[in-house]
Amino acid sequence: MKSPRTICAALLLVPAMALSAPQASATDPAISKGSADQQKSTGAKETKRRLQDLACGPSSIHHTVRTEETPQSLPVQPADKALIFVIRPTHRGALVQTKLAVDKKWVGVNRVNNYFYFTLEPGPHYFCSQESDTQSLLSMVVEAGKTYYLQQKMAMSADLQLLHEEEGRKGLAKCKLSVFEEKK
Amino acid sequence: MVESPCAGSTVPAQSQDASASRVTLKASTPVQLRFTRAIASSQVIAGDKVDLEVTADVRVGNLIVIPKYSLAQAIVTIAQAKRTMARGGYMELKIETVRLGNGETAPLRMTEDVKGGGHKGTMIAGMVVVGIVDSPAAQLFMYVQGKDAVIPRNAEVTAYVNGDDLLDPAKFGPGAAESQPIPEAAAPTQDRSVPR
Repeated sequence: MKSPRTICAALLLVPAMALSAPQASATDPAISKGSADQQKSTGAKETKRRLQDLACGPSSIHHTVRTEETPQSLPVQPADKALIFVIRPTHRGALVQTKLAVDKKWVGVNRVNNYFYFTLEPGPHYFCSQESDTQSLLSMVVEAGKTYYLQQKMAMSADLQLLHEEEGRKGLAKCKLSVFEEKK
Repeated sequence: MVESPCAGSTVPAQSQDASASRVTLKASTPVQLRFTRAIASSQVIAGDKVDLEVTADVRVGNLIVIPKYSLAQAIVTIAQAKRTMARGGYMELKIETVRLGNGETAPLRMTEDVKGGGHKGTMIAGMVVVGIVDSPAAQLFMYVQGKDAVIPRNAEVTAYVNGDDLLDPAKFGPGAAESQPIPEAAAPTQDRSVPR
């Protein structure tokens, strides 16, 4: 059986070892790399949270949505603003809504083969595409007089992708205008 | 140190006009830059500023108008972290300005486009030479690691002066004109980035 003196010495030694551990990690490249990876991961999580706060709309707001079956003329590109088309040119998840918020406001809802559009002032904007409980985030500095095509996808979770113009136009041609309103 | 053939011209000194003693930093003068820290698409958002530093003096005649280690600034114009289903992140940067030897800034042009690899991309290589779209700029040396688009620290890139800039040599201080230009044959080439 160990004497109380030995136990006390052991108890004193444990914190001392714990204190010396950071010094050891600073010199051990393997541990330093792990620490760098951890920092990177923390940075990514913080950035995601920051972007969610800047982009996503309130979760309490719900929408009704229908498809405008008659072909609609496309909007004219304003010279002083960016024009954003949001398309969802797929058949997957027919009944699932994919919403898009910009700068904390819901700006549109799509279902299969739908599109909607809106304009933005030039400058940085923050986009949040949401399907059920999952979100896909994007931040972008938009320029006046430019058209942007964003594609919402149904994968395992929400997905938002910036398309090249040609790809965007092709996708848009397959879609019909979404008409949506906030549920009261 | 680099003296670019298109770096500029000295206005004839005989003229009494004040502007005649000025030198012109010409549009499209290349400026060699490097990133001072790693940039990952998961850790930046659009509008964030990114620092770069000049890696070689830019001269007009004998005058160093952009000294080595001068600060340049880029802005993140598009950022998206890696997504589900092995879809890579995406990032685009626009290099905006560089600090001149006289304390002023000159506009630069170029858009970098970095696309992170999905599984396919990461299987190909850890090091990928990525092209730049939507600009008259150049190829860019950088890594794409994992699924986030990543520009490593010290990645080099060439930007170009955007528009002629008329400069007063007197404002550059005595040190700026002291060094003699390197003979053309000894000067490092500026052709690492090939405009397309």
